[in-house]
Amino acid sequence: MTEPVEGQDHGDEQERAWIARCRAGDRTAFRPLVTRYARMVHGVIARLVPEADVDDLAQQTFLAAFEHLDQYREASRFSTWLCQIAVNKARDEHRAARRRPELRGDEDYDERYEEGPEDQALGREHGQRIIAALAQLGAGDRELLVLKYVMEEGFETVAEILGTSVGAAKVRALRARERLRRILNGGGAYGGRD
Amino acid sequence: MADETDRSLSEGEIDAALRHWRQPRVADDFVDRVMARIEAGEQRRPRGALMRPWAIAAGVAIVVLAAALLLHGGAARPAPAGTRFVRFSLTMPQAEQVAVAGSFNGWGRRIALHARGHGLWTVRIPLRAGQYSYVFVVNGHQVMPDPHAEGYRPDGFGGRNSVIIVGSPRMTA
Repeated sequence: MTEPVEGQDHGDEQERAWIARCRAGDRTAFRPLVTRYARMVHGVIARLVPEADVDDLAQQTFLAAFEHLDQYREASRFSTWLCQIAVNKARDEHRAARRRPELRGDEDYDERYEEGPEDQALGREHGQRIIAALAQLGAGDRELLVLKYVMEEGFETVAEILGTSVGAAKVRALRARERLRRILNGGGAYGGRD
Repeated sequence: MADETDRSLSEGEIDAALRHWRQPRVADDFVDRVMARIEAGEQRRPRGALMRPWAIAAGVAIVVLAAALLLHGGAARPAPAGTRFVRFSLTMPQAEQVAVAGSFNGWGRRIALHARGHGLWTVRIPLRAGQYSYVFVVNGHQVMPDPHAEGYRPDGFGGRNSVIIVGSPRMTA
């Protein structure tokens, strides 16, 4: 492609054309979709699983998307559908990790991750405190916080990705946010975890 | 001196930390590695039959039917009853994608042409006998008539559509 594909609007005509070409058997048409959404998929997965698994699960997400492209319905944004797959891959990894004899903990704040000016202003302590606090939350809370407050998706999209109602997503997000705030401010986790 | 790590964070600080939490880098070769696996055929093509019992049974039935058709001199890919396969083709070496849109499906979903090498793009579409208007759409936005169409008619917007008459002697099948 001669034009950059990352960061363009979702669900545009060109994207639908790429998907149609893939469905018609043109594997190369999947490349611009991977290019466009690689960062987004990494963004979801990196906040739900240990760093060592991110690249592999991101690859698995795209491979699964390609294989099951016939199941994608254009009533949804392609990015939303990809997020659903990414979240499911992270859940699968959590289930597999529970079956492994030695569980890996969450990674510490890693310098391989980008740090923008705002991060520097906030200081690394905040990043480390957020990770430590999120590690105390359940997987459901983490998914909600990642999709709503990190990826900054709307509640309708969050609900669609997680397969729940908009109302339930709002309530769960508020509770997860409150649990996070309590942990961060020394109150500890309370209430049930998702 | 206050310990920065122990103080309470404001809602704004929590928001900012969440937004910038662990923003991952994507490896430079990530896209290439994914595409290498896809292009190597590691993944099944979209719409590939799932290996479930019913799918296997359906596959066996299709093979038997195809063999029967071949034995009786039938076409390898018969067109649906009352239709003929029409080949749309365009030579456009600089194109990155080509599709055809037309009245045969109410100017609805565009149908992608496949790159056949040396700049040739083609697709075969089953059409019933009749007259249809169509255009090619190059790279998703450049609309152009077929330079080798049977005929042309105004598109009502100052341009022109190509015309094909399915069942005519010139029709490519």
